[in-house]
Amino acid sequence: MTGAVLWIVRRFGWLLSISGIDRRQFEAILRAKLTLDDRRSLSGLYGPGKKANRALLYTFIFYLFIGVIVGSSLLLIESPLASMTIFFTFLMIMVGMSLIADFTNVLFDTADNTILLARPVDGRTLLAARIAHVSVYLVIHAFGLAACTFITGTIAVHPLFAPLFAVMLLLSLCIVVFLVHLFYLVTMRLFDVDRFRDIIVYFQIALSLAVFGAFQVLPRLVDMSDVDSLRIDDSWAVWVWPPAWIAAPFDLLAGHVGPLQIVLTVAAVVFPITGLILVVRLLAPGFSRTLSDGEKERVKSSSKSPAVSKRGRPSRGLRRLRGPDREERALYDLIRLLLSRDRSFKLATYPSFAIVLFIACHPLYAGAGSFADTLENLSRTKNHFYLLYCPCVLVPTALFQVRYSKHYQAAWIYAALPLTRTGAVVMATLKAVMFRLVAPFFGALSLIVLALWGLGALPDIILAAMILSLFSFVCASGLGWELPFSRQRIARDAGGQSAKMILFVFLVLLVGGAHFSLTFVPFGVTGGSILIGLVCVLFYRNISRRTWRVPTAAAAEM
Amino acid sequence: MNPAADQKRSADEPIIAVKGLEKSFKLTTVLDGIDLEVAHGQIVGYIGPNGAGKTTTVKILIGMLGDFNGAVSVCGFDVARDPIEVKRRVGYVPETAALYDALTPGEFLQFVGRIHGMGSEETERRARAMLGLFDLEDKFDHRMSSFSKGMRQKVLIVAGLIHNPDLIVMDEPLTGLDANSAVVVKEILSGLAQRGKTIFYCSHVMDVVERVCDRIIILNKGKIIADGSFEELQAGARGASLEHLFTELTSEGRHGTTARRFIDIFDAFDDADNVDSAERAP
Repeated sequence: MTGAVLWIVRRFGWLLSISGIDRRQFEAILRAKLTLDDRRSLSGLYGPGKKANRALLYTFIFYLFIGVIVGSSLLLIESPLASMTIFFTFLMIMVGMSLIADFTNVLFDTADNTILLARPVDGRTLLAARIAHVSVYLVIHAFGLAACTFITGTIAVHPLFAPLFAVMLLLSLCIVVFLVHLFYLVTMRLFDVDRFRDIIVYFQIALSLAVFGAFQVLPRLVDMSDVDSLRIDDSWAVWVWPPAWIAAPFDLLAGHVGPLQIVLTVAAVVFPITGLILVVRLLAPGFSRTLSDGEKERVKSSSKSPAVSKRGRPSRGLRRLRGPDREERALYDLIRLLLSRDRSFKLATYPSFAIVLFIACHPLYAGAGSFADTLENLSRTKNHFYLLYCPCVLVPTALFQVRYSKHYQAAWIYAALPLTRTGAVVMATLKAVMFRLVAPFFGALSLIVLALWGLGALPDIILAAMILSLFSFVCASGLGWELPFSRQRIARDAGGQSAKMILFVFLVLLVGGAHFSLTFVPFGVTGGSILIGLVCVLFYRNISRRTWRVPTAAAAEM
Repeated sequence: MNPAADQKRSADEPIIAVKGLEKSFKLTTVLDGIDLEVAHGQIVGYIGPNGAGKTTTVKILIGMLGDFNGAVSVCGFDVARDPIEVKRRVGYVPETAALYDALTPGEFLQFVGRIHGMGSEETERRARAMLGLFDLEDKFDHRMSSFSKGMRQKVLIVAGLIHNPDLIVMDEPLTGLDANSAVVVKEILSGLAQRGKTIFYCSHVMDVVERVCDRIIILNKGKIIADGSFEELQAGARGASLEHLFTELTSEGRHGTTARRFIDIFDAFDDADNVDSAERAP
């Protein structure tokens, strides 16, 4: 892919030469940037940390695929204004989000400043290379998403569809660039560097959910019976929703000429061009200055940034729960803090939390008929098992991810400090993951179950909670003992574990089934709770008393 | 544990006693028979070229690496048998300034202090006092992700000293520190040694070792090749700097040739550039 892109860029070499750009340097910079892109992991497409060698090509194919799914779904809608609005909404959101999610690190990477600014490269060449780089990225995403619609539209709609589509696609990308630019300016003005990076992580999480949604939700939406006659002309929203403006000319092409279409078409042309001029004239200079100030800016903004707020000391009872001795409590507090702040951990686990929530709540919205009817019917089923056992799926994922960190080298601290019980490390990690992540999730689902099924479901909730704890002990043992936040993410690590993950999920199904059958035995659920509770205590003691030396190889690396 | 007996034993015995230490990773031998004794209150400079085995020695001394051959006793405890007791009494400042960036210095030091059995008020008091002297008081509750290398190094130094250790093991502790802070650290080390603390100082920076340490050990290819005060090492070559002695001992006279060959490559550059510009000229 890099080769192909550079071949195309080379065709425009004459253009660069007249603009006073050093072609050799331009190509060298662009090649380096694209090579790095090719080896970057992309959110939404791969899990974080997996190494890819041809990321650009795979991204293109992947977006092509999504484009086919979305594009073919929209063929059913008759009104071009409606279908093209949906299409461009989707395209602009996807491109904008992936720009923020994947490209921010590239834009804000000041490492190349130390390499390039020390070399005889002039600003014009550098700027051209940067623009070319962003353009290549935009084009790969947008063309991938749009290819299917472009082809079907040209065949099915009108011969003029193709040129119009191409122009509108470029205009829509201008809007995306303008809005993303505004987003950066506003967030950089309002937040310090750390908060800014956190926001980017949430965008990355949102992107992977959007990809999930594109596969799950859109086809379902289109299955709705009245979608083919969907109209949006009379909605006030078209006036403020840029994708609707981009879609308006297609309505004109279909012969629907009216004041609405004409005004929107004018907006579709004027807005992106003004936006682009604003970016180039007013916004970009300040923006680039902020970027090139890199290091200075970081220190400055960190001194401005508010201090981390401290919480009050937890009550005595809560302190007991964190651990029996000072050592385990110290470890628990450390891991709890890291869990709530490690970005790569959030990136690796939060999407699966959202997806599991989506799946867990499936019975709530899947029924035919009105929402109230669905809930009414639901309380007569035994579907609350489904809700209660879904959180189990998260346990192995979270426990598996907690061993990874970008700052894995900082794990020397476990080996250098006089830790007497290694079981304390395992227990502290397990507790931090369960209390901070899984328990709130389980609690929320339990509340839903209580609200719908009433107090009668309480014994089931208690047994499910017991089994959840037991399951966490089993997972912790099954995944092997590892220090938290002590390993670098490498792709090959994941291979052997996915088999275990499937095994764990299977185990959940088995235990859930056993729980279900216990409901037919008098006092079965109560008895089960007591029994499982006892087994949990045994596991707890066994794990906390465990000692194992920090593996020598790990210590040597640290 | 009886503190008086502990005190007596440690006064008689050397604080570090290493006999026949050997360590290899897979097929490469890193340490090849180290014998070493360090008395209380000494500042020992441990120097050697890259890959000589300095960091490995340090990790064994502080109980981080367990499987080695030979007998190593630190603070009166066998490192292989009682690593925890050793770790309680040793303060370690590692070479790589790796820290969990998401934490604040306060949170990190709180963790270290509590693992050493200190109460949180006491830990906070000490941490604030020590960081304050390094001009980091106002950064106490800020995440370390925005810290410079020098600021991280200061946090690591405080973390290594906060539990009042008997033996302080430092691996390149001055990396990234500005001149003023480096002077402060050097003076702290001298002051601590006068109060009976022992300091084991690993470094590449010869002039610091020359000035700070009262005993210098030179390691090369896993073996100790020189051991003594700076004056003793100078005995052969009067007036020579430690740097000069070091290169004499460890490079076997090759350093002159390497530099010369490097310069030869540059001559070739010049020739090629001349040809290149001659080609481009017409």
